[in-house]
Amino acid sequence: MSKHHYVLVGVLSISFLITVFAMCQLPESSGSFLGGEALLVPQETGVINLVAAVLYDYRGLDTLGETVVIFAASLVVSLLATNMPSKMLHTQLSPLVQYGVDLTLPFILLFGFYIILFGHISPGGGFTGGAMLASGAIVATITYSTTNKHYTILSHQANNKIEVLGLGTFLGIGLVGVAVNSFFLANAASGVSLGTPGTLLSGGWIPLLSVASGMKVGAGLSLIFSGLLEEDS
Amino acid sequence: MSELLVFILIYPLLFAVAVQTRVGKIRPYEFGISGIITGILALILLSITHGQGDVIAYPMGGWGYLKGIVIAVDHLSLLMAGLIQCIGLLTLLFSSKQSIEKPHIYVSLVLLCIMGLNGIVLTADLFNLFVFLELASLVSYALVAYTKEAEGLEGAFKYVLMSFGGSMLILWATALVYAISGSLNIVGAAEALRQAPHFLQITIVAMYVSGFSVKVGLFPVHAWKADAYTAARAPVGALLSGASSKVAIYALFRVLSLLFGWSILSGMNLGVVLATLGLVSILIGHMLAFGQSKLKRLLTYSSIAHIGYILIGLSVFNLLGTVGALFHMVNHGLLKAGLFYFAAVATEDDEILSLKGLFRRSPSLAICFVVMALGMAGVPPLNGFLSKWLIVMGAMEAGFYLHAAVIVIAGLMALLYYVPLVQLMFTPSDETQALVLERSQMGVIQTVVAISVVLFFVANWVFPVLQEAASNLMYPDSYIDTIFNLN
Repeated sequence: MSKHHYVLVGVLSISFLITVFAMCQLPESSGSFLGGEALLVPQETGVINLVAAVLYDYRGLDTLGETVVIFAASLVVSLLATNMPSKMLHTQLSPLVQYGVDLTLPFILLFGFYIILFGHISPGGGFTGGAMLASGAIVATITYSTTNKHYTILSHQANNKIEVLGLGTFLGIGLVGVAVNSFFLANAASGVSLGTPGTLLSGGWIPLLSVASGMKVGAGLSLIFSGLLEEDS
Repeated sequence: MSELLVFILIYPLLFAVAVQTRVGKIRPYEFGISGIITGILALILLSITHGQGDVIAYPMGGWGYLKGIVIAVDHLSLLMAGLIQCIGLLTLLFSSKQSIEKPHIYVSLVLLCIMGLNGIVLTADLFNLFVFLELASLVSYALVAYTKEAEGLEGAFKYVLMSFGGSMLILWATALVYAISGSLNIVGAAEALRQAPHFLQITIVAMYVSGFSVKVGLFPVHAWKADAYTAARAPVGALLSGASSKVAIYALFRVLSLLFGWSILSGMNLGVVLATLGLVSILIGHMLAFGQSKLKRLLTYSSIAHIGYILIGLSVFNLLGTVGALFHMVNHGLLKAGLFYFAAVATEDDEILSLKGLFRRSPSLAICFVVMALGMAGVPPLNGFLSKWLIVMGAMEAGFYLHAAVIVIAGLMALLYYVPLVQLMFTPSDETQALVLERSQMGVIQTVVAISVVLFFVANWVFPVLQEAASNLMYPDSYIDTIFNLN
């Protein structure tokens, strides 16, 4: 370590200590989101998963922003990623991996779909489920590229279309609120039926928004991975 | 008409997605430019319906400020949004005649950058601000690295490292605000925050100041700026230096003044600290600009200095200084963008020496440069003079005499490094072939020059607008009331 490193470590640890000291002064009973009205969430949004209610109803604009970040990231990767020659073809993976993936891949994908579709009733949602779908796609690409050159479950173009479709659905649902003279990304306020909280068809637009962001995230992450492997065609 | 707010926020996304899905079927530049023009029309429509002294707030999803996200505009946000769209439009117009590979991705990225900046300006929510800040930063890294040359990648890498540190500080501060108040709305969190322990307040202010300073490129954390802006294509440099850094300053002052209010902030001597940071930035920026052999690097260092002027104007906490600083944001944004465009067309490899004999080769371009350089140095009758003069007056009124003196002297320093460039242009050289420019590129530069001259003479009409914006920043009562009344 040079002198600079010591200075850096010193500065960082002093600022860390100051922050810790400041955080010790945080009030004991600090305010909380919804101000203790969490029990109202099923009534207001029709979902029993608080996280889904925050992500797709109360703070839908943040979620839109995050999906746009992933959209931008996949653009950036397709621009900047250099063509890495992948030498997967004819490499020998252990049979354990081959058969293991054969066996588990359908379940990985199924679980991803489940997490997306049931995001409003149980923990999960579009982002988590989309990431699972993408990881399934990545596992498939790595494993099956040993026999097929650049194997992908969905082609680059298909992924692109799904990504844009997901983003479009999200925006479209958002604009429904404006169209019925309510607000952008409105859920119950846009007049949609909330259903019985806890059932599959409940929560108004929330399940659809979850599916839209699942499409967006799943396709986007797969695109980022395939962009790292090969130049887009 | 408050739906226009939503449109201004998401129109870049709509156009970026359209450009991405119709690759090869539509012309990206024309499409992007028409997108930004619709955005500008929406802004004009909004400011017409806006009326006098009104603040328009729009609750996303119909939830109020306690549960949901609120976006809001006042005169200040409108001014910033106007600046962003204008520079975005000029940038796309200018780039359309440059040969940039993968134009559809380039246009989409510029549009998404505008979306991020619009979001920062429009939102009244701390976490939402962070999301859009990240969007704008992410896209900016890519735009800097767009050439994929070693220089660009190095610049982008430094930018990523520094900017990421800044983002983390901002996120941490936001988390602390949320822990104290239970609200992410800037207005909703204010009351609890003003009663928080003093040390906690100072920590939060320090985090926001240092986090946004990185994004702005203030003195101790300015180093990334030189590499990033120099390596980026000139129109990208124009967008980042003209719009992004101004928006970061806006965000810093909007967040702090709404969260704490001027009285608590001046109790912390924040004005003195920020003004002094600005002072050092001015001196360092101008000194580093001397002896540069690359034009864009010179312009970047001058940018760092001009950020210092704006910061001093805003931190003296009076109307004169604030009006001056806001005016300087507009002036510097436009002029610096113009100079970056100039750098793209007038030099080869960005070498200052290749400016030699430019007057012979393209007299109008050389004259444009002279006007823009004089505007930057603050020579009348140009807009740069007025805004600097106001900042000096504001600093004098607040008793910041040293800062006022340095601003005056710094104008002379700026002349000292612009004059040799002008001299070089009027020196005859062997290269006498006329420099022919694309009409739209020349048009963009001439527009910037024309605006900067016109702004000086119509200052009487500009000042009331700026005054409204400045009082929105200093006395945000109507902004606060409008958001509170949503519930």
